[in-house]
Amino acid sequence: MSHKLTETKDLTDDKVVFGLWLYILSDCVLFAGLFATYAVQHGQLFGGPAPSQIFDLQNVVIETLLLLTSSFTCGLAVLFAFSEGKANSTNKVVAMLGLTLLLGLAFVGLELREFHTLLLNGNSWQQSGFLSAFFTLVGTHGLHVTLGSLWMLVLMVHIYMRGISTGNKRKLLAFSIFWHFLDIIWIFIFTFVYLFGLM
Amino acid sequence: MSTLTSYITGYVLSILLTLAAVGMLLEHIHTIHTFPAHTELMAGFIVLAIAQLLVQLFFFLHLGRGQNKHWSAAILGFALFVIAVVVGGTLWIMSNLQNNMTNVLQGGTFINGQVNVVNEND
Repeated sequence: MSHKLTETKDLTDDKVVFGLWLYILSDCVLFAGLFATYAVQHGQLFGGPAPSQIFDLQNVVIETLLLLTSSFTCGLAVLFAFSEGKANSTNKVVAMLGLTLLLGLAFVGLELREFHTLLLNGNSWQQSGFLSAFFTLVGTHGLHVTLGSLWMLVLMVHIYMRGISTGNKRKLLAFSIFWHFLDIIWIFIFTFVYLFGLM
Repeated sequence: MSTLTSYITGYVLSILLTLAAVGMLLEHIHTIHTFPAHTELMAGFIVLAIAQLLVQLFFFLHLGRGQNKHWSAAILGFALFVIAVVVGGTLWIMSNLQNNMTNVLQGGTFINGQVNVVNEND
């Protein structure tokens, strides 16, 4: 099974995609600031709970697997859009994006449930420096995933209405870079917030 | 290498790296925080996170392909430099502050916005 990517090469050299890459890297700098804040604040408990007391490993592992899988299905959507001679590939692309959307929303749902449990137990962002930094860092990532889901929904409508045009291919490629980037940020949250917090 | 193979390889590797990190953590907890030892575990987590980053960059984002690859890589390098300065610099400055302030809290007084360090010789 060979998928030839004839147009990807042209599109990865596209100015729009290159500009998106610039945005992604400046967003990385934003997250670097939030990570640095968390690193400084994670020990400032002010009588509140420690990280190991409030993190649920099982929940976090499920979140991670959901996001990794959504990154994979997003890649498959790009693959189907750019592969040649595939009849009906519009449906395949929309289906893969739909799957990615469901996985993304499941991730956001699990994260909101975690936040809800924390708030119910009185562990809000006002409790301590640790919790302020935690909610800011993880919440900013969650907001990115939520807005990415909205972007994905609009993209699905575009592809469904107009098929896989060159413009839509560019949009899909730009979106996929953003989605993979969110996956990378999550890997570092998973490692430096959750795994480090639980050990 | 076809792109489908690339995506599947990347996906399998990313799952394995995640499970390896979780396995290390569980082993650490089961052995009552003795094996792997604290510092080794932290080092292991960092290595696995960097491996995961590389897997995502090469198998999913296909870094290093296309004619713009040098520019993309150069900007990535610059972003990594800025990140290192922001995170490293913050930790450095704040740990310095912490040391000095802890000294003040233990051996000095804080009156009218001025720090008066109590000297042992006084």
